[in-house]
Amino acid sequence: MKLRFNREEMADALRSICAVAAARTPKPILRCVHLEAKSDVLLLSATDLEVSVRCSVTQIEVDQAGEAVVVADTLSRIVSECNDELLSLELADNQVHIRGAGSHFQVVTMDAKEFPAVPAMVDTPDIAIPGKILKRMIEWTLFAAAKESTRYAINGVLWELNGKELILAATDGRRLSLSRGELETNGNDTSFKIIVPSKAMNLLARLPGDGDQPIGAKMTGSQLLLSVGTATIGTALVEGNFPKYEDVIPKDCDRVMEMKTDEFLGALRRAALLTNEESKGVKLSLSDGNLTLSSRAPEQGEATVSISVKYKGESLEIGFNPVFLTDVLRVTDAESLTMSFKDSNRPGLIKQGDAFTYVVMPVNLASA
Amino acid sequence: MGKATIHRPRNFFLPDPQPGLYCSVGLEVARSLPNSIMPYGVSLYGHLLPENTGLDFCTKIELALETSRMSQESKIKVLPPLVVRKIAAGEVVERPASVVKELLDNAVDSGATHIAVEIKGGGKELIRVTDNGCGIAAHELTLAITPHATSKIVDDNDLFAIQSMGFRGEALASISAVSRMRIVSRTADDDEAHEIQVEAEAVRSSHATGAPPGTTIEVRDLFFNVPARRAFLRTPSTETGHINEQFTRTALAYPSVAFELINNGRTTHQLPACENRLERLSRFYGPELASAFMHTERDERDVYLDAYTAPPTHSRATPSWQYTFVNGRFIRDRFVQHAIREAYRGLMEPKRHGVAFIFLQVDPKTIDVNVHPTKIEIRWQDSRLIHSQVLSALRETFQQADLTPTFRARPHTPIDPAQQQQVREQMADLLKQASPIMPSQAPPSGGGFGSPSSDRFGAPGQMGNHQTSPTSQWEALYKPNDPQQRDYEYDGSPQSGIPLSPLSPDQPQRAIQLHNMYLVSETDEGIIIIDQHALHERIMYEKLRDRIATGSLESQRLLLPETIKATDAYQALIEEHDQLLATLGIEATRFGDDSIAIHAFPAILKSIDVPLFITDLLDRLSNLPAGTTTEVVIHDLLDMMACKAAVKAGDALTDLEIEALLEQRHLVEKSSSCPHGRPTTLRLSKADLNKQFKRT
Repeated sequence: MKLRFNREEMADALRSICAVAAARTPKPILRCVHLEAKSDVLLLSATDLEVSVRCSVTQIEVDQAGEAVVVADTLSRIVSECNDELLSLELADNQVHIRGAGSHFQVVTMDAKEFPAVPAMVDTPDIAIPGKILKRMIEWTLFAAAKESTRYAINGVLWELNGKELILAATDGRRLSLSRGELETNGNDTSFKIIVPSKAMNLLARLPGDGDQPIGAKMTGSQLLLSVGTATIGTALVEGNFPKYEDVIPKDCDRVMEMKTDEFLGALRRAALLTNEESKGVKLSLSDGNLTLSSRAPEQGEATVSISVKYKGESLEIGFNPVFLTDVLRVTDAESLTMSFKDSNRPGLIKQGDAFTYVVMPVNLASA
Repeated sequence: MGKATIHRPRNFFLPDPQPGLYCSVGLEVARSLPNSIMPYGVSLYGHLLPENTGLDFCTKIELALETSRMSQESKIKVLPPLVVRKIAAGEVVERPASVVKELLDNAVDSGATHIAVEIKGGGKELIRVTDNGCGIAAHELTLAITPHATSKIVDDNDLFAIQSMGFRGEALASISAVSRMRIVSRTADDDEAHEIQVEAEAVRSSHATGAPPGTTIEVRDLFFNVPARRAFLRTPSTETGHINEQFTRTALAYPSVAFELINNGRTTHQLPACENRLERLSRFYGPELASAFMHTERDERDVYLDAYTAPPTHSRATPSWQYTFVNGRFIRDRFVQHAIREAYRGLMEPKRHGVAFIFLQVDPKTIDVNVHPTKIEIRWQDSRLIHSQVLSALRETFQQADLTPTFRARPHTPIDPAQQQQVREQMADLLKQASPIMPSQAPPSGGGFGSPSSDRFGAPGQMGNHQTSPTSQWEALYKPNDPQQRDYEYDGSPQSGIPLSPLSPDQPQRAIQLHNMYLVSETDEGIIIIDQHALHERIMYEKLRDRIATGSLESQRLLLPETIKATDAYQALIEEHDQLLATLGIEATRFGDDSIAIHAFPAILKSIDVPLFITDLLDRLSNLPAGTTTEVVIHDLLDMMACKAAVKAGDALTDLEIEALLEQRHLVEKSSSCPHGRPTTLRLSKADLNKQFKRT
């Protein structure tokens, strides 16, 4: 294998690769990137046996086709530290030589035959979603997914496809985030209900590509394949049953407040300044046209912040973990939002039209 | 020659100490056995013996009698029979669960294949045990309730080869002395059944009646004639919990017998006869745990062992899920317990306990069952043999199961407790040798840990303004290799007069983290070494305690309630302690027949496995010694929460985290109480250091 490549394009591709290649693993080959040079394309792939990514670099000149396996992180750092426009890469004596103007790196390789198979999107994907919309939906939901819950099913994001409607939902048992979007095409009228691991969702959100490009998706066996431009992500699915999200979205929230997103976010952040690990709750006191946020941390002090909101009705006091609210305010792009309540023991509901729904459970503030 | 007095302790039911019960004895009582439920006190030489001396009441009287005969001072009087019966009943029948145990034992001994237990009001109102066993012939019914009447043994030789559960002929008599009892029984050969009704030992009626073969014993109004004892019974749900435990023990020991438990008209357990123990274990503990069990079977040196042990990942906070059975009898045995602990050692954290069900069959001649009033302890002829058989069999199973790799896969390198201990000891030795810290020896040591002197006091906000000027003054004049000058410069410095406050001279200025476990910092007086986990745990504990003093903890409601499998006993626990749990920010309810749903959880425990935490908590609650006050329970649980919420040994801390931790140190120092007495901080004064480096 011998070729020259455009350094910047390669560096971009390697960033996605490194997001997948396992950093610490008992199987060293999983730390590696698989390079395969064909006449006009260099294919890069990596896998941690759960999520895989495959992408291509096209600004290359191949002298000799072939394949090699090197530690992804090492190659990535070499490529990004160099400042040449072009670098050459050659496999000789089980070592990969990377040469720039004044530099020469020899990197040990591993046996390419041992590298696990990484799936590629061969056929046309069944469904296509506008990239902008899907990335948006991921941003709206992924943050709410559980991190290391023993209920494995909620460590991922639910994808529910029905006709042309796609629903993504995520929960960590304390809040739930749900977004709806419209597909561009749904070729075989596919419908499914699957749970995609957070790692794959993260990768998808970060893959380079302009937002107008559609993202293709296809189920093959127990894997979901996603294609963005020339890159393919393959992911195993999380087994288990995702909780019934319909059941936890309250339908009886009759106290509706409407507020400016950035004002609410600012007020929350200020009120959260006087919270600490044992008293993290912020109290929302709602009365006609006014929302007062207050917090109190023993031995630190108290904060009170008021903003004006659109609200009419009985006054209400309810506590929330401010993080659960700021999380969602950061990802929404609407100028104003509605948040509605039933009472101080029941969930709060934040909506941005039909596209986005967020349910968050209150904190019972310590009675003083 | 001393004086022995028999006392009425707190929960004793005799009206008053009998005047005839005074006697003089002249020997020391040396024997002492744990776990006895002995509710009487005897004083020797005027000192009250601990209630758990393990001597049963009769032994105490015998002792007194014998010694008084020896000393020829005869003031002993024989007790009236009913008093003796009540005393004996107190030994055997402590609470409704004891009645259930005795009746279940009888039912099992009768060869029944189906046994039903029905209780009402936690067994205080009604306990009814129905079996389809051999039955009691009509003419023997009254004999059955006579003390020391039994069909199970004939002479004293049988006593040392006991095959049956019961043998003393004590149970029915004891129970009948303190309750209203009805027995209906029919042997297979008889055409009709016979019924007798007994109230406080007196037969009220006796007549023929219709019933299927087998025996039904009904016990109503337990302790109706012993108001003191009745008053000491706990809530129905607690008593139900104890009954459940007894039921579980018997049902686990006899998988081939079908069992049924009905509580207040609701069937809580319906256990068909099973072919093997695993099936029955699965009924009680759920298929998930049952499928994880490792099975050990071994028949060696006349000890047959059948054991089901769960992998260390299922470990519990208390040993309450370790069951030992010998010849079908549930026992508590320290030899077997020790063997289990040894087998699990190194496979789980030291404070955790494995889940183990041990079924032993041994030659009845090699054990003595007659050593404890409720037969919960036995004596082995060769305890070492039992210990080694259990230990080696379990070890073999664990080794074959190859449990170790799961521990190596932990994200953090486990800290070797031995090594930790060693460091502690070395430090402690060092401190012992060193002289006490003198308040006047206050100057900060220079250049500790290689930090440039210019920013040694750089951490803002930790030093008060009043300290700034002497410090900078001192710094300007400081020369590292000139101790003379140091002493001179410091003499009479205003700093030595500063009273102890949050900004005491001992307040650390900056710290480095060693082994991701200890924080080492320079203070004006020397250096301090802080155990990061112990310190954080205590800070958390203090804060939580302050919170509890003014209300309840902040509680995050859950969108999706977490559910955990729970026995009836545990379900009862959450109901009994709901106030306490609410204070801690936990809202849990009974969920279906065999689960608990958790609806709200303390907000501070955000990254904790909820089911695991609640299980641990319930384990603790279920093992509270009798009479524990709410305050002690809260203390215990807060301690547990603080421990879970605190940084662990092995967690790498950022500079900001270290700073924050040290800033809060004064919270701990102010308080005099300490959750469990472990030191958080070791101090090494400069004098100590100088001495070690022979700089004096």
